[in-house]
Amino acid sequence: MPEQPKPTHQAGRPADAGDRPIARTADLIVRRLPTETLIYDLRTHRATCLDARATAVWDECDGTKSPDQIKSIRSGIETSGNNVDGILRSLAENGLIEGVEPSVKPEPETMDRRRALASLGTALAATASSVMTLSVPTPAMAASGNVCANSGDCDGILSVCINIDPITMLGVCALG
Amino acid sequence: MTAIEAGSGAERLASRSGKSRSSERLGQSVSRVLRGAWRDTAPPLTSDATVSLDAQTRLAAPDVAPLTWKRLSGSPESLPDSMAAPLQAAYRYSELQAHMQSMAIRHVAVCLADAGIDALLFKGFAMASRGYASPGLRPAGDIDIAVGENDYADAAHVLGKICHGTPNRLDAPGKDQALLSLDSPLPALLGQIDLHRGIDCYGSAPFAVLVERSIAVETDDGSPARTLGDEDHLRLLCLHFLKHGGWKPVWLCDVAAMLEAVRDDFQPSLCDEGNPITRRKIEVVCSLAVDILGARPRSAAQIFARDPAPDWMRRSVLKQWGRPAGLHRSRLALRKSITRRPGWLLSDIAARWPDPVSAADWAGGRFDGRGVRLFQIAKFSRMAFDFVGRGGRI
Repeated sequence: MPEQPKPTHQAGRPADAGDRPIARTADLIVRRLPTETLIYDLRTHRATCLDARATAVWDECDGTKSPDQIKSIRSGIETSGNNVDGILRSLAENGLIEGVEPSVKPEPETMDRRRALASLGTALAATASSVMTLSVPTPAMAASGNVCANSGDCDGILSVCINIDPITMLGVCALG
Repeated sequence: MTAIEAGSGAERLASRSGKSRSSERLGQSVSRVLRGAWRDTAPPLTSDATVSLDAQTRLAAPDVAPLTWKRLSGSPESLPDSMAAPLQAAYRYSELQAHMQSMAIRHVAVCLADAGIDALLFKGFAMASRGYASPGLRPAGDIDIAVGENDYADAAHVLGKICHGTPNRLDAPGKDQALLSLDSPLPALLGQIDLHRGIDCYGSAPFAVLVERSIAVETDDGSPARTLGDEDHLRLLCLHFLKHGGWKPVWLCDVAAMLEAVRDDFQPSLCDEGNPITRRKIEVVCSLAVDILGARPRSAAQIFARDPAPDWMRRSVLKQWGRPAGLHRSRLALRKSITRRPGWLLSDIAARWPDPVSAADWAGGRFDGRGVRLFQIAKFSRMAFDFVGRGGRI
């Protein structure tokens, strides 16, 4: 893989009043879909899903606008039950912007692949949050999956038996 | 035989027949949901298209979950609450994976091109980016890459530098396929690189000709990666489907999507390479794609789907789709059964019993429905003979 750009800032650092939030770009892989944005953080191996409102706010974080200015530009968001302040805070908590103090510092999560997959879909649906953080299995997690001889041994309908060893005929449960 | 035993046998036969019909019904449910799901605008589901619990399990399989999400999310009344979250999760996960695979493919293609090696991507991401509304709708799994016979060792060496695994063994004599994992922060989502020494088993055209007819992979980052031309890719998809008995629905979705995506200058004669057996094989699979999934071939490819697919094949494929995926995968464990769990041997042998479609394909494309049982017996005998000949290695 191409060498990833080095981090140029520290996400979630304390901010002075009047800071203008800047969307983080380093070490992020961003996939924009018509109705949401999926972001994979190469530092934490976490994926975040932004709904359309959060995507709109994130896009405004170009370092030239204060939170108040973003609010005035995206005034429609204020009436949708999820205000700009809350979205900015969530973005900061997830390390996606700098310049806004997060209320809670995010901790790296440990979660197996199956739970990660489940959370990917349920978290956004179950909460009113515009920013949903979820864990994606790291290489270590993937490598430490269940030992299996066939799919029936794997513990989820989304996992199958792969990397079958030709000698032992044992593999590892992983996303098929 | 006692009367009781005879009665038990009849009940077993009836039960088996009932299971077979049930599998076919489940397969039909799967096919209803997947019809046209690869398109930008999937057709709405009919109001009576309820999804049974068993069908939900089949539709949540990794290969079709994103397509299922696409189709059912457009018809919320058909989408059970219990299905929505995991299907949406699978779709998001697949979109991320496809995006990362696109980046990885670009990197691999650049490395191989720098070494002067012609490489062709096929199946997986190559199809996901070719015929599907969004690459994430078609989970790609491994990244299949073929290189020419003479380039295989060099390609293994080049990939060995950017991958981990067993690069030193890749160019061992007689080895024509290798799995590698890229050294990257992303492999959990990335899948592996499946390096092939040519793709002769899916056609007779020399690799250099395949390269000449190849087209650029459609990615959003200007990747130099190339994939098979539409004619060669359609042939490969059809032959691959038959070889494996068509048990994965996404394989037929690939054929359907390709039939609808072929370029204007598509030349059917390049698909079969003048081989009537290959031609027949392509025809039956394309007809299945039309019958089962509602494919609408572009005019240049309609020639392959003029006749309806043989009814026995359509039913056999639907039955396969209605069976749990674990049944198809369990064949990997035969040697383990013999050595460690002899009690499971019979069921594992049963799981290996050739399906009618792959048996007819193995018999040289005899799709008229006659002698299928004979082909199954013959194929199984050959498999057993080969298995013993290999000393019990798969």
